[in-house]
Amino acid sequence: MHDRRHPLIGAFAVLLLAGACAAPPAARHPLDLALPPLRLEPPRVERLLLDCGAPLYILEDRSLPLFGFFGLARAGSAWDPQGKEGLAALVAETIRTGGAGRLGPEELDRELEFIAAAVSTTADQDAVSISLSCLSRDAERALPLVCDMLARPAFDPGRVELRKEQVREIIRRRNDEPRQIVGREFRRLVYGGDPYAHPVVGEPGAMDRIGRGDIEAFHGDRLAPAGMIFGAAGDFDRATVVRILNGAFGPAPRAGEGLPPPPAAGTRRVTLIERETEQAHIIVGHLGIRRDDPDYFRVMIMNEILGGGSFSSRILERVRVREGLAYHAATAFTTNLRDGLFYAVCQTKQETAAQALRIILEEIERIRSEPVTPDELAAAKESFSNSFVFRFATPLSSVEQAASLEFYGLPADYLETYLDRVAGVTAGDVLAAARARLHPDRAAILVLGDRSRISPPLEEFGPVRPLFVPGPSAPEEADR
Amino acid sequence: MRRPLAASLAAFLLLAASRGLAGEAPRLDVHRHRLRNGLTVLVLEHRLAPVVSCSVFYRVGSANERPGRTGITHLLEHMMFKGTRRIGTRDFAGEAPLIERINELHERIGEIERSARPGAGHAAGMLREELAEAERRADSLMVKNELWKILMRRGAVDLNAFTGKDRTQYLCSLPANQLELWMWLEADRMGDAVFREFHRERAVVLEERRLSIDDSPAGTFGERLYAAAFIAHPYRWPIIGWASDIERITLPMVEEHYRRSYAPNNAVVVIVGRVVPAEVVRLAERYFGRIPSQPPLPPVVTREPPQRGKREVRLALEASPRVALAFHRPPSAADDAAALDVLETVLSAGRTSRLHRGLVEGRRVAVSAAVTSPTAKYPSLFIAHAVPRRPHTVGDVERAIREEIDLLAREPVGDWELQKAKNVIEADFVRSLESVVELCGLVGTFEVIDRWEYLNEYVPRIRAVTAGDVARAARDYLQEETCTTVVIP
Repeated sequence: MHDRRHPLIGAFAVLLLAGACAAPPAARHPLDLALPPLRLEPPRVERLLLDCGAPLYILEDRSLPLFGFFGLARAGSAWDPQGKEGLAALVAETIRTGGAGRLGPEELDRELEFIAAAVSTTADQDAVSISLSCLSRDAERALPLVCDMLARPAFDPGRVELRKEQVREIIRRRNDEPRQIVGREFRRLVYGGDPYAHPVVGEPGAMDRIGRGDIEAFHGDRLAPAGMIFGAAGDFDRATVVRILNGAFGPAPRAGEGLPPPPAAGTRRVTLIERETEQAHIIVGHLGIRRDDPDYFRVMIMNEILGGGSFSSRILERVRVREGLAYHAATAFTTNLRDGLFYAVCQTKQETAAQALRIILEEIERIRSEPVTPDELAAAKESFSNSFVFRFATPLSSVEQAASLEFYGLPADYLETYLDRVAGVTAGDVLAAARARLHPDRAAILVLGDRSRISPPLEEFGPVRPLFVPGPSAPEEADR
Repeated sequence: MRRPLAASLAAFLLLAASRGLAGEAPRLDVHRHRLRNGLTVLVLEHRLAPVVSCSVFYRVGSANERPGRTGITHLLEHMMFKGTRRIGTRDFAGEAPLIERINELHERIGEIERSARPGAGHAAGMLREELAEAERRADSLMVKNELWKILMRRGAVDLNAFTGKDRTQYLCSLPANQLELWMWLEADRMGDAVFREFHRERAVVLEERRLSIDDSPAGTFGERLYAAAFIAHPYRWPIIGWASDIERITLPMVEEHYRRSYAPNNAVVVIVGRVVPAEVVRLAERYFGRIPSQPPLPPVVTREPPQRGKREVRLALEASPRVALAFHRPPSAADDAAALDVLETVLSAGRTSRLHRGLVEGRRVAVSAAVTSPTAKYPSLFIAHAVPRRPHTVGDVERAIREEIDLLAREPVGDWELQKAKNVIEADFVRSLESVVELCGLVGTFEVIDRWEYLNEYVPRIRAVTAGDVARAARDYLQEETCTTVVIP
């Protein structure tokens, strides 16, 4: 039999790309196929500075009659003032819906929707982003409106109140889906009182404490166009786009970053949310890494092998394929401007909860104690480098790649050196990354499930502390 | 399909640049080829990046199942990742008898446990020991998840499979030079799949059901909506199947379902990307050409009888209130489909839509309200759903939706609103042309439910819709007497 575990196969596969030859008889194994080389030709995304000082990443491409534009601001929910959680998301929503420039909210909606210009504004922990996608023929009509939303939003009081009502209802419903509950409460367990702890949408009662002054101040401090990063891609005339942006944006500066340092690492603790569900919903983890961590590639390749690579990863192979315990079992490092999260997640019937959790902890321990195999390492690295081409699948994705580097403070040659950085990761690097970045002894373990059916009990993982989360039919949550 | 020379040269045609109704509709130049064994191959050149999106669609979904075996199509989809005689094994000859023995043991243990006779526990325990040993030996001969690992290693993204009510899709996007690798693997499993670890995978599917339906109020809501709106047509049961059916599906049943429904004459290969159509056809002939065709699947003969009167379902779930109104509608490529698409867009797309303005902004009874209507081969559903805002009840929201629908049936939409809806549909269509994986899905889906050429007729059909057509569609299809209302009160 063909031995696919041989370490040289990985290196050979990359060389193969250069060695095109006439088609041989059908290969006995697909990795033996002689395939033509791939010409990777990432488009040249240009960076220029607008008059206000903000960078604009730009790529003209006439393949499709589409125009895409976006702006990124370091203005995510991490900057929500305490007690006013959800402010960033409220501002993001209402710069779109509250009217802007000369147009009231309804006129703005009609103007954009008649030309089918898709404008969306979103907030996450790090950023408020705005994006526009329209037919290129409408770019000159839609782009100034998007600029007005950023520079001259009206925050119509009716639309602000409407959004607050919606947010109150979303928060009222937040305990409907177990998956949503464990994700939210896990974040709170790990981050404690940190600005990364709360849900982007907000907390109960917070909407009542947000006034017009808060909205205007947040917009003025954090969403000044001069402090943003912009991108434009597709079928457009660059001079026109630059003229529109320069005409719209003034040079007002943005407030400083001012994020506190991340919280200290916690200790091993087990938390149980009681609910009569079919499955136990399990999440385990701790603080992770920043997006600009120098170990980024080593950590990501380690995670790919541990649990990030789906069926190529150890945890899914054991929990799902070998044991049939769960449909979904995975690990992830979410990276942010500041330390993100590391977590492993899985859902299994109550009776097998302890078994699944034990396997997850064993695999985290194993990758910290012995080197990954040459085949695992080669597979993970090839997956990263061979899928690199998809980062440039559309003009807009190429521009987004370039702009996100600057947003996260990554070096300008990041993409040029990407393949070399991946290729340079060794089994020793993976082991070192696992030891430095995985801490099962300090992990928060959170389980939502039916205590009476979880057997053996969760106490084997540490003292179990109950956490009360009201059910959907409970009276409204009090303020935290 | 032969097209005029100019169109072939442009290959991936983009003529949507001119304004409004005057502009030429975007067209796709899909090359169609049929192998002698009946396999349909569709190729669309797309030269934006050196990538290719590859799919095989089988013309089989949960609608082709029968009571007692619901979920078998989805379970088969899971089993297709378990390898073949060449993939997933170190020694197939040594492994084959073990696979058979493991299956026998599982079935016997299952029978004994269900019988609950005295002494059953002991008998099952003995067999379980033998089973553990056989599984240990089989595991040592397997290369787990090899298909998945090979594709990922070569740079695959979008690697997945979907089972629907009418179709099953296996999809994957790769660097363009890996096309032949995909052909090798996909043809290998079309012709030669080996269903290892069946009982473990069946347990995984039961966990998937617990996760996506039983523990999810939204999942349960959707399942019960179809179960209530259909009384006869097989769209009534869930794609994942009823739990008690899944538990009783056996390996021989899945093997039979595979043989019958995964034949080349029941499949469509769709390739979209930076490829040369003639080369794709040559590779398809080479890899898929040897797979024998099979007798055709029996057609779905059951028709949903006309609904006589409104149906109402109140679900007792631990969840916040929600409401849906489901109406019967013709298939996605039917004559009235374009008018229904415009109607859906008028009701549901954006902040200027009727439901948003009427329910969310105007009456303020809901936090969101929208219409969904799945792409379907047979008559399916047009579903208006909304999330009430406290203290407003599901009854308030249902009444408000009804009022908006009645207004549309009574008074034709104005020129502005009609043109806006058409612009939205057309722009969304143009946006979908950017992504190889999205195009692959569109071409294959429409080929399965009707024919891919419908996509080229789509924009002209939308442009031809009149205000009268929209009002008539509302009157004909969105009637109170043929509505199924599902609520969590």
